[in-house]
This record gives sequence, C-alpha cells and structure tokens, in this order.
Amino acid sequence: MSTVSGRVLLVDMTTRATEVQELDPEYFRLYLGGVGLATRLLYEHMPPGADPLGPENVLAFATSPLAASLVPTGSKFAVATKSPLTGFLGDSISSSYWAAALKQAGYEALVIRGRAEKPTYVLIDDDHISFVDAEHLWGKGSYATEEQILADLGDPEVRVASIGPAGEKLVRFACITNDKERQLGRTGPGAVMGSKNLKAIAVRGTKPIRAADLDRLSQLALDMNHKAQGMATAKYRIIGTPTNVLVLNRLGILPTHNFQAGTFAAAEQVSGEYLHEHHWQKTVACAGCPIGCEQVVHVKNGQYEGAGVSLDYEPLFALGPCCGVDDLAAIIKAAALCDTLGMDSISAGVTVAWAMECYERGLLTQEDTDGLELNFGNHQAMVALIERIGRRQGLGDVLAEGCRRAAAQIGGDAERFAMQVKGLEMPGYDPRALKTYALGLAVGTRGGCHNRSAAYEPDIKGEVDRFAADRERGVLAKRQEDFAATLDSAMFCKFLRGCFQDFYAEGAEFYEATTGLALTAEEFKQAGERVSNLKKAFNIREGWTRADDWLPARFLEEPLPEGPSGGAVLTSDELETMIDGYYEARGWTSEGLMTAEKLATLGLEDLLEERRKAV
Amino acid sequence: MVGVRIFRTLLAGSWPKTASTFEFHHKLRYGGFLARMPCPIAIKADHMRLTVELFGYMRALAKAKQVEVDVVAEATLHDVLDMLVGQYPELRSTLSSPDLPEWFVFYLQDEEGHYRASPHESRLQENAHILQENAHILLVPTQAGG
Repeated sequence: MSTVSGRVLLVDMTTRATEVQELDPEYFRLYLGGVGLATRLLYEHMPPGADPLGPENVLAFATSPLAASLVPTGSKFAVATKSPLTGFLGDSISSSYWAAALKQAGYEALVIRGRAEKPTYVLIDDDHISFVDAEHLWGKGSYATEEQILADLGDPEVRVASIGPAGEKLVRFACITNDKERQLGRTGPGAVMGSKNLKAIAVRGTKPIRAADLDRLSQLALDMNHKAQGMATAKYRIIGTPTNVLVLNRLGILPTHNFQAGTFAAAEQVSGEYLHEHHWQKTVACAGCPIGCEQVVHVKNGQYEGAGVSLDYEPLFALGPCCGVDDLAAIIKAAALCDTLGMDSISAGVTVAWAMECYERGLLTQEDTDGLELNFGNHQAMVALIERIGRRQGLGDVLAEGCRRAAAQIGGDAERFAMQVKGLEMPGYDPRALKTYALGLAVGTRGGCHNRSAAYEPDIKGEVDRFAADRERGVLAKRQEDFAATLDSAMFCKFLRGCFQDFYAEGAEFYEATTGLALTAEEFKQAGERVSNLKKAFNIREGWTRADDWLPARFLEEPLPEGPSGGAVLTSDELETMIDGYYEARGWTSEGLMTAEKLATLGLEDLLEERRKAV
Repeated sequence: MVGVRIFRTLLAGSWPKTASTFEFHHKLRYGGFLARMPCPIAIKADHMRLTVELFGYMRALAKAKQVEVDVVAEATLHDVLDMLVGQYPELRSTLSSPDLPEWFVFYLQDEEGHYRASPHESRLQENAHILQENAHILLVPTQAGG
C-alpha cells in the first residue's frame, strides 16, 4: 500500500482557479518525484513553444517522496519550468521546511500557470487556497518578504518561498528563495515567478505523514544518520565546499579572470580555510539533515562590515577569482546582495566577469558603465554592478539578460568571452583539464551546470586521465548523469552520496520503506535514465539541435596559460568524438535524437505519440 | 641583534636547519595554522624526503598546510600515510580508515608539471607507484560540488 497521496495542486494565476489532480501511482515508480516528477508535469502542462516569461509557461514544483519523513536530507523539492535564460528545461532544487510543509499540506506537487493582474501571493493552508494581495511586499528582498508574511499571518510555522526585486524585474537568472536562505538558484525560475506577478508561495501544512514501514525506515535512517556524520561528509561539515578553492587552484582548474586562467595568485586569501578562520559565524543544516554544510560567514569590520551570508564554493569562485577579486569581505557582500535581491550568484558573478573582460578589451567603456572602472579585481565596481543588475539599472539592465544575450547586444567579439552553455553561465571548474566534465557540460540539458551531470567525478577522482578525451567518456557521462537524475528525483542530497555502499539498492530500500512502492535496484536506476531522457525530450520539443551541445570557443582555442594544468586545451575533434560516444551510450541517433525503440524501452511511448500528433 | 638577523634570514627564505628555527620559520609562514612541526633535520642515507600538501579539514586538523616527511627509499603512498599519521596523530582516524581511497585522491606531478591523480595507490600497495625523491604530493578530498 503506497503512502504517496498522488495529489497535485493546479493553480491558475489568471483566473484564480484551483484544482486538485490525482496522479496515477505509476508516476512515482517511473519518475520517483522531485526533478523527475516536476519535469513530467511541466511537459504535460506547458504548451510547446511557450514564451518563458509569458502566462503559458508553467512552474511545476514537486517534493521529494521522502520529504517530511525520517529520511536524512529528504526534505527537498524541485521546480521545473521553461528557462528564460536558456529557452530549454530549467530545473532547480532546494531544501528544507517548505518541502515538508507542502507535503504536509497534502500535495506531492504544485503546478502554477497564468499571470495575476497585480502582485499577489498564494497561501496554501492545507486544503484552503487563497490569493493574497502582495502590493505591500513588492520591492522587498526575499528575507524581508518572508518576515512580513509571517508577521501578517501571525504564524511562524508558515513556510515561504518568494522572489526578491530581481525576480520582479525579470532578471533572467533570478532565483526563488525559501526558508530565508535556501534557493532554487539556477536557470531563472524567479523571473518566471515574477512574470506571473507571483511574489511568494506561503504554505501551512498540518497533516501527518505516514511511512509505509516505520520500523524499517527508522533503522535505515538511524544507520544513515550515523554514516552522514562520518568521514564521507567531513569536507562539507567542517569547512564546507569552499575547500574547493585551494584544491582546484592547485590542480590549475580554478576559473580565474573570466576563465582566462586556471590559477589565481590570491587563492589563499579567498580560500575556504581562510574564510573559516576569519569569517565563520555558524554552521547551519537544512530540515532533516544530519550533515550541516551551510557555512554562515560574516564581515566583522571595514567597508563591508555587517554583511553576512551562507557561502558555498560556487558563489565564492564566481564573485572571487572569476572576477579577479581577492577580498573575501567584498565577496561576502556581493553574495549577500545576490541573496537579498534574489538572483543566482553564479550567473551574476560570471556575467560581471564577462563585463570586466569586455571593459579591459575596450568593448565596454566608462560611458557604458556609468563611470565604473570595471577592471578585474575592482571589488567596489563588482558590488555596485550586482546591485544594478538586481534592479535593472544602467548597464545592469543589459547584464540582467545573462551574458549570452548581453554579448549579442554588445556585439563584436563580446560573444567570444561569454562563458555559458546553452545560455547558462558556467560553474567553477575549468573543462580544459577535466574532459569528462567538459562532455557533461556540453550535452547537459540544463546548460552550464556541474550538478546535473556530475561528470567531473571520474576526472577528479582519477578514474580516467583528466587531460585525455576519448569516445568512452560518453559512457561515463551517461552514468554520472543518470546517477544525478536518480538522486535529484528521489531527492537525496548529493552530499550524502558518499555514504552509500550501493546507492541504487539502498536508495530503493529507503524509497520502499517510505512510500510502499517496491522498486528493484535496477528499476530505481532506470528511473534516473528515464528522467534524463524526459529532460532531453522536453528540450527537443522546444527546438534543441545537436549544435546546442557545444562549449565556448575559449575552451577549444585557448590553452590554459600556466600552472599544473598549463597547456591543456580541448580540441573540437575531441569534443565531437566524446559527444558521438555519449549519444551512442544513450542509444540515440548520431544527431542526438531519441528513437521510438529507446522511448518504448523506458516507458515513454506517450512522448512519441505526442510528437506524431505535432507532426 | 642576533635575533633580528635570524629573523631577516628566515624571511629571506634561507635559514639554519635546526629544530627550533625550522619551527620558527614554519610559524612565520603558516601563522594561525601551525601547532608544531616535528620534521626531522637530517635524512638517513636510505631515506628520502617528500612533501605533502594538505587541504580543507585535513589542514585544519593538522594545523599545517604542507608537511615534509622522511620515508624509506622506494616508498609508496601507503608509507607516506604511515609517516603522516606518525607525525600528526590527529589525522589517524582519517588516514587510517579502510575506506580512505573513497574520500581522498593523491595527485603527483608528471614530467610536464601536470598533477595527475593516483586514486588507488594506498589500497593497492603491492602494485603501488614507487615515489621519487622530492616528490610533491597533493592529498585531496574528493567530495566535489557546491
């Protein structure tokens, strides 16, 4: 007997109509939940070719089937939408109490479409749904918005997901913030929310959550809690992901000066170790998480005194070495600004780095920057520009479009320096000396994302030679991508992955003990492959072609200039070969399209039917 | 005056190799991370000196960024780990774990100056890579992401 309710709340912002749809339990065997379920709902509810910022686009939220249970790190949720940044699938993940609240309100998922006439927030109070005027919240940052809603409702147990000014202004990489400091960060779901005049989604859930086999789940959870506080997560618990700064710098793959170099002279000054020693304030954990990876840091004195934020490696790289900034206080300030304004700090940092390179090459002048001297390393200029992006002021209005669109506006060679894949700004690893990762980036449905492919692992761990490329990398990239898709759909935190001996077998056991849905390890694994294919099917429907699976010219033409990866470059032939190998490993055609046989194998025949109807 | 002269010498990067001045030098270079540096002064004839760089919480536990270890000639990475644990008992619970290869990767520099991973060296001791004199080893936590 399954404990999954299968209930999906459908909300139309235009008409203020709401409806509850009951999903076939089979959905939770095929797509598990989280990213898989959200993508499936997006596919079904959004008409093909919808404008990402138009009322027809859909925000599909889906919780983890493990949310609000005893499963460590299980309180997570995902959103899937058509990204205003890439025009393809924009899926994002966040954690903590909002996920549990939606589940306790009785919903596995929430689908929002349409556009409200004026700023509104939706209040989900178990079975009662209301549309609340949000004029008084418009213009407020995410944190202030949440505080105000809690004050208005007089209930601190209400959980809020909201947008800041960046989402209201349709900054294409605006994020959604929940529980004050967690974000659905990448690909711009905050802009989609803003386009719907939807300031926030507040949830009060009071219903009990039942486990299918509580005794078994308790034992599994106890064992996993023990492992999650051991060696496999030590890096995250003690210093956190900023540990990566010095490691990647030492390997020569720390993106510096807009990916012009792989080493940063001031890496020690912006390292996780330095950050921990000089700026650490406290460590915070998401709901139900035994790891506690969030390292909250603050600035004690100087011009940025009082700034504080939970800082991970990615914002640190993007606002630090990538912009040539060696002042941790400025990085903390800029990251805090991104959070307050409600925008993805990776995209913000990499877009500012692009503007800095354009400025140094004369493609942007001081006239364009409203007087800012936008040289690499000028942290005051970076902080000022972040604020302008979030409010779409001056040059910030151009940069709010993301570096690909901004480059198209500037023209000339500007596009050459836009470090993005499919429009999504690059994360903090240089692919010239991590070649499986390079493949993962190129073919990823999300664009420039390290999390959905996880293809850096075989390179970093030395499973393969990180400097070499061959057709077999396709098999590895597929393996890693499917693994990530399973994690993101069942919704275990990726930081837990080292705690499993046999992830697919153990994950399926957790899933069954929680939901009552029995899946073999192989079926659990195949769910990941199915979700990977579903994501790709969405992109194909939205106009994807093989040409979209490519990397910026810099990686193909400019070797890393120096350091422990000096001279490394990725040739076009290498990339083509790896992509061919990836399509082959996936069972797709040489053009990267899915065959009817492949779709049938994965139980996705209905996608084929839909394609035939469209033809 | 003698103290000032020693101080200047240390800052210039050359220093007399006595235990006390080495420790002093190390304090100067590594500031807050230093607890002590029990590095041997002389190397036995059948030994060689290697350098290991530590990162993240390993560095915090050992309170050192970089450690020099003396190991027997033809040592493997496994021998280096033993020496590290001997010098830094704080690392014992970490480095003596049977699952160590899952969580750490050793990187060694090749002839081109590139750092390449040797992930299974400590586990496969019999076939392990024989280290060369003056080898520089990066001991890297592999939990990537973030």
